[in-house]
Amino acid sequence: MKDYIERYIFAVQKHLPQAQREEIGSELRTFILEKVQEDDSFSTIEAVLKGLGSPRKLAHSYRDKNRSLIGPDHFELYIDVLKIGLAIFIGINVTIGLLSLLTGLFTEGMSIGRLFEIFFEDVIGSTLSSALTGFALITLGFVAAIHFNWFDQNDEWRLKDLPELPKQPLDDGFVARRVLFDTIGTTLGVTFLLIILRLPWIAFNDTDLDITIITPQNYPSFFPIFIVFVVFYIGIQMVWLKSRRFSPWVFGLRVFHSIALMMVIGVMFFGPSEFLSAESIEAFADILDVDAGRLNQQINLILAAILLGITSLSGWSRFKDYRMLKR
Amino acid sequence: MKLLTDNLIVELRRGTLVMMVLSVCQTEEYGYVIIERLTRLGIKVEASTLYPLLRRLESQGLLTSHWDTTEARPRKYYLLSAQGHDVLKALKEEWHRMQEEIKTLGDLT
Repeated sequence: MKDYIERYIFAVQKHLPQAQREEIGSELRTFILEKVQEDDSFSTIEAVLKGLGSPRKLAHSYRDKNRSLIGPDHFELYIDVLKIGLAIFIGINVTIGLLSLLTGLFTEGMSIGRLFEIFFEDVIGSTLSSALTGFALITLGFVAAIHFNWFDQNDEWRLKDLPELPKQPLDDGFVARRVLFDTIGTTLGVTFLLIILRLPWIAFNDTDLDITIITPQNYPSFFPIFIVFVVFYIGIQMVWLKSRRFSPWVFGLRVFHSIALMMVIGVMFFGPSEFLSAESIEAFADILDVDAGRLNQQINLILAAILLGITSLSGWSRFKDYRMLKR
Repeated sequence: MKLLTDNLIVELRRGTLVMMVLSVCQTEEYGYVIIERLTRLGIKVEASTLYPLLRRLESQGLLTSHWDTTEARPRKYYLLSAQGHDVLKALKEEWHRMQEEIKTLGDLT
């Protein structure tokens, strides 16, 4: 009968770290043997072991920390980021996939079979694989953040960081709408950036950097995408502004941000020469004693950096907004 | 309703278990005897709860321990540390304060 006692202890030890096995096993053995010293019948041993609970559960209660990838403290935030992240990942892939499908429709000699192939490969296939990649990346990111205590260190908050009151009382759909609008906006923004980055407008020849300015003549298909992006972006901003009560400062900053972003995108699209005359660029180039063409390219690069900076800052402020809403 | 009440009682008792175990460990004891002593006082505690708790309190520095291997069965004895004394004192003070508060609350209702 005592075989059951050793088997029970072994079953507990199996779930424990190596360093703890011997000591916990000895302590358990002493307890069980003391309990059954007067009556070591099967029924008593069974009652004592049953009283200790399942070996796995008992071993688990010895652990100081809960063994979970994402603990309850961060789970809600994790789910929110997962929803937004996956929506963006999927949105980008569906958009790019549909664009290549549409491009295929207008390409001569493209068979129906090839279109189906593009649909399943670019739209369905890459969407599923990107969803899985997104899930893995976000989860790993959270695990790393929790492991290195990034959340705990940044858990301070100030009164002025509290979210503005909405015009209407918060309803169940408020956060959902915010997530939806931001997801659409970010998806379009990221898709737009990806399209820009994938266009062959920037290249290295030997050691020289060659930049082709994006114009409707160079990249005609880029033009309708740009228009769609601008219309959606303005629409989202309008809905966003309507749903919140802004202080004049916040409202001003919001408008400035929108105008700045539009201008930067516009300058990138049309090229600085649309805003600065060729003479002005040449004059600046003379003052700086640099080549005018190179200055033009450098302005493009600086504007691209500003675009990335503004987009990142905007993303960060939205992220903070969500965190505040969760408090 | 009974299940909810039972759960709440378990939670309430769990909060005070550390104080009870630290109190018993003012004299050197091993797990089995700690359970026996608590049971005699009417405090029901499962071995599956007590042993992990003893280990946790030891790792927190509130208890010290040593193995006695002179008997037929090796026993691990636990004793309240200096830090454990301070913590127990603070817990008891808080417990008395809570009793007073609950009493006051009872007088008001």
